[in-house]
This record gives sequence, structure tokens and C-alpha cells, in this order.
Amino acid sequence: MPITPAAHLATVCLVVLLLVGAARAQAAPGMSLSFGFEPRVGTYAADDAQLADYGFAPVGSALLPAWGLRGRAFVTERLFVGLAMTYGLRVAEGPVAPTTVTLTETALGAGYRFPWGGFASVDVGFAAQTTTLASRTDGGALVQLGPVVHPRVGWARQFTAPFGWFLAVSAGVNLHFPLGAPHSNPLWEASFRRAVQPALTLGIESGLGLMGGGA
Amino acid sequence: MRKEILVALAGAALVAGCDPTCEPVPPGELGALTAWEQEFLAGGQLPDVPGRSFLTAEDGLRLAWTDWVPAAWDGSGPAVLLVHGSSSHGALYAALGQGLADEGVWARVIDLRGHGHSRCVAPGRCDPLEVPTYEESDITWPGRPGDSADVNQLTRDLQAHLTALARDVPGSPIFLAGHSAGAGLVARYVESAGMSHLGGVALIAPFFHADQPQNERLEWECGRVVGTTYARVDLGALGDAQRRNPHRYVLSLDKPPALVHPMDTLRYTMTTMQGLAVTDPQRFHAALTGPTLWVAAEHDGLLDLAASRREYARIPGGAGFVTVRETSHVGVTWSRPVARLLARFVRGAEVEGEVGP
Repeated sequence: MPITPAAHLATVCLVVLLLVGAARAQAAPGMSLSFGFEPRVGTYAADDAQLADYGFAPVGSALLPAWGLRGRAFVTERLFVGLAMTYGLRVAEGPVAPTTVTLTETALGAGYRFPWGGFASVDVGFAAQTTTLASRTDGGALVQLGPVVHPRVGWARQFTAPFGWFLAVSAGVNLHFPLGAPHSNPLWEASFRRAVQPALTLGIESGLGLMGGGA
Repeated sequence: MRKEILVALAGAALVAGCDPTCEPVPPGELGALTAWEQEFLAGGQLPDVPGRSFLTAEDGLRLAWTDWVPAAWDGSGPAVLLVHGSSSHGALYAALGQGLADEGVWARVIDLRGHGHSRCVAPGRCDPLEVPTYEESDITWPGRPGDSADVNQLTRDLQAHLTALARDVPGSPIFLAGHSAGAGLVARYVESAGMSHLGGVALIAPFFHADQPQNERLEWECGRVVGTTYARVDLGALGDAQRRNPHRYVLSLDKPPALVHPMDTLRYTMTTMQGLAVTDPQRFHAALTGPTLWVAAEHDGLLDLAASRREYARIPGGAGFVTVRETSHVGVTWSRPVARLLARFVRGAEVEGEVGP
């Protein structure tokens, strides 16, 4: 399937889900908003040998710094739904122009909060990862668009109960499933296609509202 | 809602599956042979080649040529250096060579490096009857089939041939003629060397560049292969060749079985492919300032006749555009009237209109 219709379809589905989530959140007994730093360790450098072969600067690292905003609304005392927008950026200097990896991820999640502050959740959404490339003779981008699944576990500490500042740490696995071909340049023999791009995530989150075990 | 999404997904998949550019490359075509051409082929009417001579190229390769000398040659007439087209070699132009000699014109027909008797299947192994396997290699060697050291080596070879011919026929005006991609090499040569030392140029069913409007450009395998069914470029291989491996084979030449010859060269590297084309497809015409004859085949399966006329009109030295009736892209080189036409052109006679097959 061509990438563009798939992306449009996924966007429409996401908007519908977000509207449903927002409607449920209105009736929720509590909610929170947080900012998180969420670096990822994944297969971002898996194509480095080929990129170098093509004269492009390699990504150079499996680490992708990422950050974002997350909102949660409790539909019961323990169950919550959430929205998350995550951005990632890595820049690797090259002889002509840097190779940049840019990630934009939008997801809807649901989770369960334990009385002792632990939580488990799963985000489902859509991710767009773009790798821009340039050499002395060539240039372009690898665009990987597709759904993403992100289960995680974590622990949150509420410092001013019950609706004040909280801090949370989490760890998870982010699975991005790019649809279609990441490029359509016939001069590049390598497809750079991959079925899944996995990454381990480690997050530290700070926010306001209801979230963690009591202070 | 779910049903509508499934219908939309199925529609998108159907559209992608029917994309005509994603079809495999069909068998090679050069256009149908006309009736007289079929008879010509069936009768095996190419004259025997009178013998070959060689000159030593800049890298030591022996470059082959054949001279067709008029019976009553007194050293005063014009001489033509004829360049064959892609995949071919000089022996297949014996009809033109013999025809020119019969008209009193000295004709020298050359084998480009990597073709015919100027071809070596391995370093130092230059048996023209040995069929090459076109093995990929990071390096080149003199005479490697369909390869040259750089994009201008064929041009330098052509200059060496011209110098040798000028030495052999002193005082004779020398004309350059090329067929198909051979005409592309002639035009490329003129782009850099000019025409002041030439009596004129004859372009026979010329292929100058893939981006010329007179030749169709098709796509297969979802855009990974472009060109004509006869000459197809693997764009992935071309990208690799442009980046780091200029001696990788990028062009495949596929002839209909009736036109295949055991000594054909059916793969080209980027250096030879580009070396047989003009450097500037938009402005090369301006370099053709001297007398230039354009010979077009009426039933050319590769080149559009109307677009060819428009391209000819851009040549400042245009001396005539002649259409050869009942003739195809390849058959134009078997035509006795074409030999007579070239002979008239090199003698300065007016040439325009049509000639018979």
C-alpha cells in the first residue's frame, strides 16, 4: 500500500480515538499532565554500513534522545487512558551535511495504576521517523511511517497528594512497524526497508495531577 | 465504518498492483524489419570484410578498423570514418563500407573499444570470437567488453582514428559518420573538438542521449529500469556506478533474435554508456556548425521521425534531412541508397527529401 493513504487512514483513526478518549476524560475522577524525557536505544544505526557505503554520514549510535508531553485521565480509581506526543532528534555530523534522525510519535494509551505507585500501560499510535541524508553527489531521506505499540511499566511518586506534583520513571519496549518503502529513489539499490524497528525506552517524567502512590 | 476502510484499502492495493511501470521488461525490440530487410537478412547479403588493421590506443589496446578502398582511388577523393551503433561492430556495416567504396569514397569502419575486434574478454585475452560473460569487476582493463576507462576515452580513441586516417589519406577531406549511438559519439566528439578539421558529419538514425525528445523513455519494474525494450538501464546499478563503481554494467542491450550476432556486446558500463552520448542533450546542436547530414529511417522503432526533424532544425550546419523509405533503425545501414546518399553528401551535392530503401 502506498505510504500516504496509509498515513492518512492512521491519522483519521487516531483523531477518532483521541476524541473518544477526551470525552471519557471529562467524566474522569482525576487527570494529569506531564513532560517526559524518554531516550530510546534501538536499531537506529542498523543501516550505518550501507549509509557509509552510499557516502552518507552514518547515524553512529543506537541512542535516540526523545522527549514529549503526556496526559492521563482516570476513568476509574485505577484505570487510566492517556495521550502522548513524543519527539526525537539525533544529529550525526558528516563531511557534507549531517545525517539527522527525526521522530514524531502520537499515541493513545491505557493503563493500570497499582496502590503502591507502580503502573503498567500500553500506548498505540502512529510514528513518523525521517532520516535525512546527503553526500557530495547525492541526497535524500528515508521516511518510515507506521503504527507503533509501546508497552511499559513504571513507578510514580506523588509528592503533593492527591493532585500535586509527581515524578515517574518507566521502562518499555517501543515497536514501530513502518509501512511501505522508506524511499522511492531508483538510484538507491538498498531498500532500507524493515518490518519492525524495536527500541528500549527509559523514561523520567515530571508532571502535575493525579498519578502516583501517595505522599 | 470498518467495511468502508476495507474497501478503501482494497482499492489502494488494486491501484498499486495495476501500475504499468511495475511490469517486467518485455523482450527486446528494435522495430519490425521491412520486407526488403527481411529478404536482405535471409539472403545473408552482407559483403565479406576485406581485412582488418589495428592502431594502438593510449592504453595499449589494439583498436580494429577496416578500410573499404575505391577501385580507382587516386588519393583525391573524400574519406568517411564510420562509427557503428551500440551492441554492434564494424563488420555489420560492410554494406555501407562497400557501398561507399563503390561510389568512389574511401570508407574506414572502426570497431569501438570493447566491441568486435577491439574487445578483450579478460586482461590480455583479446579473442574476438570468445563470447564475453560480462562478469562484474571493480576494475577495468583495456578492451573489457562494453567498458572504457572513463567517459571520454571513446572520444580520444576516435581522435586517434581520425589522426591515423588523415595520415593515410593526406589531402582528402575527412567526414565523420555514425549510426545510432555511434552518431552520439560523433556528436560528443564534435562538442569538444569542433568541426573545423572535418569536411562534415553524417548522423544516421542518431541516438544522442536518453533525454533527447526523439527517443521514447519507458519504465519497468516500478521505475527501477528505464529506457527502451532494446536498451534498458538498471537505475540501481547506475546509482552505484555514479557513487563508487564506474565500471559496473548498467545498460543491457536486448536485440530480437533475428538481429543477434555472436560478436555483439550486450552490456555497457556507465563509462561507455555515457561516452556514447552527448554531454549536453539540450545544447549539443550548437556545436554542429559544419555541414551536417541527418539520415532518418521511415520505420524507426526507436526514434520519432517528427521529433527528429525538430532536432535537426536546431543544427546550425544542417545540410539536409533525408528520410529513407521502407527502412528500419538497423536496416538503414544495409541500404545501398544510403551509401549513395552519403557519397553525394561528401562531394558537396544537395541532399534533402527522401531516398528509396
